[in-house]
Amino acid sequence: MRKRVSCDCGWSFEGEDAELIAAVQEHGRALHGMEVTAEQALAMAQPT
Amino acid sequence: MTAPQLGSFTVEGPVQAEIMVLALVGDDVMLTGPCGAAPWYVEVAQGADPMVVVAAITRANVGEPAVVHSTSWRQARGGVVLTFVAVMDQAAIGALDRVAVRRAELVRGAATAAPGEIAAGPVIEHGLRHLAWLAKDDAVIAGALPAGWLAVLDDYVPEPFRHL
Repeated sequence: MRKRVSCDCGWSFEGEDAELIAAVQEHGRALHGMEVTAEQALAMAQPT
Repeated sequence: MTAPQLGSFTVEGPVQAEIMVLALVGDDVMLTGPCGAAPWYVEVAQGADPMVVVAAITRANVGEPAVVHSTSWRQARGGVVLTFVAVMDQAAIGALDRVAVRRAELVRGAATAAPGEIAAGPVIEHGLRHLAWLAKDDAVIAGALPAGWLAVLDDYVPEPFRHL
């Protein structure tokens, strides 16, 4: 199931769970200094 | 991280850095950043030095800053927000989105209380006033500012670091 997540800064990503987790973790770490777990990334995502 | 709003996430935490990435384009101070022309929020982990965090993340995502300096703090976004200005050379900001910084009235609190919600404009205005103060008080900062900045900062009332 594809899901979508967006950041308050305007960034967003849509994809399957594994790529969505990786994208959220990379964005969070690189741009915002955030450590996001896989569970947190999935919990934030919304099915499209 | 607290329970997120479905579909979105935001920077949070007890200490957050708010980075105003600024560059001079012509005679105009521009607000820019890797997340668009807006204040850029970064979590500061427990025990981390906010200045080091801000300099490193700016370096990694935008380029080598000419000046990084904390200019104010306030309680907002569920924690303490430390505002930093990161002055970049125009060449460093490349094609990043940018918007011209307009002059703004500062928001003043009471003698023993902070003002209510503060928009970005007054925060940037204070940041530039603080930079104007540094430019007169700190020869290292004055020397590090890219060409044109000292003349632009002459139009700002110099102010020290303060609580907004």
